[in-house]
Amino acid sequence: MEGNLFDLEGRVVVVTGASSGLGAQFARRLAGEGARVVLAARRRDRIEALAEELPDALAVECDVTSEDDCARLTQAALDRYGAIDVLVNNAGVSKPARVEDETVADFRQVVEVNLVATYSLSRRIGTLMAERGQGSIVNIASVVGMVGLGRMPQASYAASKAGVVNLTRELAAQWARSGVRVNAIAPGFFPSEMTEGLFGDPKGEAWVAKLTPMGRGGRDGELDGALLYLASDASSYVTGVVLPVDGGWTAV
Amino acid sequence: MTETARPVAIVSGAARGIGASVVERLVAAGWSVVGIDLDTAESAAAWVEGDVTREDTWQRARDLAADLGALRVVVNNAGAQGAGARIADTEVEDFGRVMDVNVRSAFLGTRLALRHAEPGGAVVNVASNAGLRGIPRFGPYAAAKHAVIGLTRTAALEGARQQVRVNAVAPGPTDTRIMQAVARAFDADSPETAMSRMTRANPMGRFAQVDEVSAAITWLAGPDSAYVNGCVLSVDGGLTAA
Repeated sequence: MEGNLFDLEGRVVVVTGASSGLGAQFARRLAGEGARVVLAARRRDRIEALAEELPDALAVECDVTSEDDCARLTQAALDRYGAIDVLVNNAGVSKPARVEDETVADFRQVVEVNLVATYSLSRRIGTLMAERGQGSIVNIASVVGMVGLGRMPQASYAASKAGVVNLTRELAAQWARSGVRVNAIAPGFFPSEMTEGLFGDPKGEAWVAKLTPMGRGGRDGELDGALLYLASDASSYVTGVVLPVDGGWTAV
Repeated sequence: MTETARPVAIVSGAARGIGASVVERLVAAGWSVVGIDLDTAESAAAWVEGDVTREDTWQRARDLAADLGALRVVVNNAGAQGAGARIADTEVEDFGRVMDVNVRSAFLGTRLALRHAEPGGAVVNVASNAGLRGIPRFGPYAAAKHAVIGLTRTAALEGARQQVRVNAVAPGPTDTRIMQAVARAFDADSPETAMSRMTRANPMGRFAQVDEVSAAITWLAGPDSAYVNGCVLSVDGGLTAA
């Protein structure tokens, strides 16, 4: 292996949930490594503005729970670039509530976005990758998909992310001989729109610090290394892995 | 980078295979490396010819590292897979030897790092897919590699305080001479058959190349994994996922 192991020069990378938070950060970093990024999200103005900033990027308005939108997204990427090398399933929602107050409709909606849409887009784009004999899918799971928390009650989120964890393993096993690798990153707590309530509250931040062996939450950019590793040829023999980036949370 | 500013790493089992590939990557990235092995190669800046199960071997490595600069990383790669016999047919001395070479050595290397590595440092322990599941005929090895993972997770919790991260990689079968020996243990008459069976049993249908394993190790050793701690990263073609 010569040169930069993590090279993504010219690779076409689809990032869902690219309008804000981790998704926008990922898109910027991937573009910085030379990737041509397809930005998918519902908030069209945001992804169009981001696409302006990045070289050779494409913004496609997309509700990942809509099959029609996902078909359009895939076609738009193929029309523009000819193939898709990497899919980052980052779009996600959370609806924190104790189980007594959580509705079945809310639970279904979270599972629909976090798990079913991840499955559906992986199926659609992964099938194309398998036909072509190469590709890497990176799912954004969560430590909440690996352990119970209680303090931030959200059974829907926990169940959906646990689903993503084993979806990752199963698709990895099915596609291992087809050249398509499927892995997941399981972030601990990172500052984002989704965790504003947590990091905005000193008690919340103290709770994260106490339960994280490294004594702090994640910092902006600290997921980038894992993403670049899993997206690039640096991880050419890695598939079916759930890589925690959590300061040791799940090692306890 | 000036000579004194080079970060220093100690790599055990550094003369060949995965360890040699780690040394090559670190040296290319500007590190000073102290290699430990039973014999030496020319790749590293300094070598300790010695037994990784002995405390004085690690003491010598630490002294050489101190001469080169600030110790940042220890890669515990030295290991031994054992004779390849069922537990019922294994002598306790053989069990002890496999435990020593894999676990005692990783303990000594990890302890050295927790005592002496600078903040921002890292330990990478080379476990195995045998540390995550059972493997008939390799009971001592599986026990040892499970122990390496337990050591890794605990050291990760303790090391966080002084900002030394501790992680493990768990390679699947890797294209090294060790796998030739493993194949003979599975099928003495036809190691080729055993090799072919292991290859087919892997979801990706091939073994790891040493540079694919060393890429994971150097990633975990460096700043791009700054918030990764206590993790066991499988590099196994999907073996333990399936």
